Amino acid sequence: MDRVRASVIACLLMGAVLAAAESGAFSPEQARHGEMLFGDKCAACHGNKLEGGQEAPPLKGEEFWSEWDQKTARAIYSRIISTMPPDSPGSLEEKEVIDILAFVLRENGLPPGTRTIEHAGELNEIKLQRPR
Amino acid sequence: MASMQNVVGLTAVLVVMGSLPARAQQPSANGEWRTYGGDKAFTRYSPLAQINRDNVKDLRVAWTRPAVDPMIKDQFPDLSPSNYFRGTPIVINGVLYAPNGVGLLEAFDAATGKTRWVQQPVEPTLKEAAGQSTRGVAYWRKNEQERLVSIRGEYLYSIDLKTGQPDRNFGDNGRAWLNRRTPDGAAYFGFPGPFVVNDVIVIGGNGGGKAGAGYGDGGFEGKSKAEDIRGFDIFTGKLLWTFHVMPLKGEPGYETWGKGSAEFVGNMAAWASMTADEDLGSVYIPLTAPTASHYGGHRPGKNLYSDSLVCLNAKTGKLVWHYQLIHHDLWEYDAATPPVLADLTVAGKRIKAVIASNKTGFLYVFDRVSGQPVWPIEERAVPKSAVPGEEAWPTQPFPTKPPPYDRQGFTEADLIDFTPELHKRALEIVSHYVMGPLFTPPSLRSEDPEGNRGTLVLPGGWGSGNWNTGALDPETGMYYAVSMTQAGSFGVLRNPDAESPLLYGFPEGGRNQQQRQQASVEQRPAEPLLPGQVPDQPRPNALSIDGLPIVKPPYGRITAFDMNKGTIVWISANGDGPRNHPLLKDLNLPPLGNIGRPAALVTKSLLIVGDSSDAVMGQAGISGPAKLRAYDKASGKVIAQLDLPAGTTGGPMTFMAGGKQYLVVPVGGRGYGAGWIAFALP
Ligand code: HEC
Repeated sequence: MDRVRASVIACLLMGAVLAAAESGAFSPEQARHGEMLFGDKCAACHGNKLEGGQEAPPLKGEEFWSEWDQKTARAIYSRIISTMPPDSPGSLEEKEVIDILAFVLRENGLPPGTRTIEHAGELNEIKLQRPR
Repeated sequence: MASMQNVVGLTAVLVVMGSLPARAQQPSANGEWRTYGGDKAFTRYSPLAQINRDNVKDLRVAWTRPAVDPMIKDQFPDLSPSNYFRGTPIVINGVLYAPNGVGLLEAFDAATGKTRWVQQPVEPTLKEAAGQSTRGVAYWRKNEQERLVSIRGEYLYSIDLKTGQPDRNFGDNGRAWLNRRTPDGAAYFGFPGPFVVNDVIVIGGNGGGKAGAGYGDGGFEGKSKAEDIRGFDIFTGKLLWTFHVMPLKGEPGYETWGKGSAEFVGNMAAWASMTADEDLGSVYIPLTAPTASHYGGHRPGKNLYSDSLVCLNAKTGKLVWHYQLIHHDLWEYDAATPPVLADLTVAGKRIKAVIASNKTGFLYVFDRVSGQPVWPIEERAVPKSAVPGEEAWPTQPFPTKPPPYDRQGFTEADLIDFTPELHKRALEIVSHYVMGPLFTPPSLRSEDPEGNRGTLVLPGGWGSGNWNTGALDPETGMYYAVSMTQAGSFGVLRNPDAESPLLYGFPEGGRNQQQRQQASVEQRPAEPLLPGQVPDQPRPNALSIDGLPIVKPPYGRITAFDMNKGTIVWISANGDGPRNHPLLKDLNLPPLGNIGRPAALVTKSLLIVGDSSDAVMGQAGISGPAKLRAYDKASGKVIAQLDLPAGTTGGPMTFMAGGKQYLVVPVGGRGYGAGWIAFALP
């Protein structure tokens, strides 16, 4: 299977034009930190490579896109911070979830760039689109 | 179908928070549904007959509600509930009560679905609002007093029915902390919710290790905390008693854990609902497997009370009787099914019975007063283990009656033979594994890809039966087992941690990244869907051919038992399954059954069972729109199929409101979200 590629769609939000796809929406460090956190708090169920496991769905590929296509990255952030991990929802900090999300997006083909996402609000600007 | 959010958003504008006076409604006495399993026997039965064989096809959506009330969503815009929406509502006096998508209680009008009140998080923060749903809320009434009792996160709540406010005399200002000391400070969490027996709240939990560590099922981590059963006072929320599912030193059963393993093995949680006979004062509790159950060299012995049905005196927490359904578990064959209470007539004798089950597909039937098997349960010799240090228990209990409700053991005869070519491919796959009868132990997984990959098991670790299995018609003594057929493979690897008492382990589901990486790709339960693949087909995995399971169908089935005789009356496949798979579509096959964990509802003439959403098991199940099926309960024939926007995530229930019978079911799935759907006749 071709590597799944996603793109950040520049979209208008309260008049501001946002970063183009190529520049990336999060920093490589952020994704690396997220990978560590994911390994500790999520991978037991979702697998190291987001492939899913005994107890949980994959967080990439068709299953991922059937839920998140056309939504903003904020939507995934919201889901994670509201429900995950299922044995302790509410235990993650905003910054941790943002970094984990950077890792999840990277694994789904979204290229990292130079920008570091500091606040969940910035995720509203990242629209996700299923690769064609 | 219009987005549920929009539909309910309109109605929510009219709603006022807090204490609307309860409207005077007079539902028929038997038109309520007071326990999420229908009653404390967990029959999932209602005698209502307005919706029946003749008109069930005419059912229409009467109302819908999203998993979280819009007023809470407005308060916390980031609140986004899981698609695994567990809550089956209860109905008291014309009002439905249920945990919502994040576990806060909601009260809503039975006839319209309109909000009465929504429980507020203890602090108005997203962290406090975050949560998971539970399977249901418990109801208690004595004289003029009544209460709702729920579990949310680490707390037990007592809530007023009229206002949704906590009872300040209960616990610490309305809630009691459920935490218990675990080696790693893991939070308590419990999806089955609390169970009320007379004036005692009995709780189990999901039990185990550190947050994010999964459910203690796999991996190389042998140390955990046992999830004890606890009784709390309904008035004060004070802990009354604790029953140690792992016996303490000096308690009976401690000696069933060799090599001092009673000191460090844990889990065994009751994560399916309990049942109770309040006249006897007894509570029936299904217990599950010990930590990392696929290897047990460090815990020689029978390992009480793992995988046992335990009957406790609910007032004192004292053991009345117990029966261990699996000795020294090596397959994660949890007793994960509510032990249904039934009054049977066997060979002319009236028996107060309890029908227990577990992931094996057996029904174990006992006299619930004495704990004696109704039909003999024989200890039969089972295969030995070749894994170093492992002493598999030499025998396991086999009920002589009734017959099992799903496939047991793995032989070539279980392989698909739709075509000779498919059979050949299936044979090739299984040639890499050990096969054998039920209770063939896990085997050593070879480093060599051409070597042994493990032991093939049916049922697999996900079980045939689970929390969803079982519904009883008390009028006829028929028990309906809902089950799935899914093979698994258990191959154990040497534990890289030389210090651990666990010499071997089953890497899947473990916490340690490096160890997990050793889990061969072959062993993974499923691969992600390929682009364009039909989502409701089973996912390709090591035990499938292009997504087609290598074992024979049905993959999801309902088995109807006459429990007075201990015999099977009919078996039906639930849904089409992969009959339209590219490899099968020219063969004109009958329905092959959809895999998943749907729960049943029995009424006067019907058996209602839906498709299970893939949110329930995380993977297998229906991904998109699904069906709710009405079967003729006497024959197993499908009478009607109702459209659902997503698969079911909890049990359906029914009640009367304003002279009308309603049917409500929680659903959830990708691209739709989650919520309740109510059906009624036009
Ligand atoms: C104990 C096992 C477990 C752990 C640990 C866990 N998850 Fe999950 N996760 C699940 C299950 C089961 C589901 C599917 C049901 C649901 O949505 O609640 C899920 C669903 C999700 C979803 C929604 C997927 C979809 O497409 O519907 C996301 C996103 C997610 N998890 C992210 C995470 C992250 C990030 C972590 C770590 C902080 C984590 N999970 C930890 C079990 C787990």
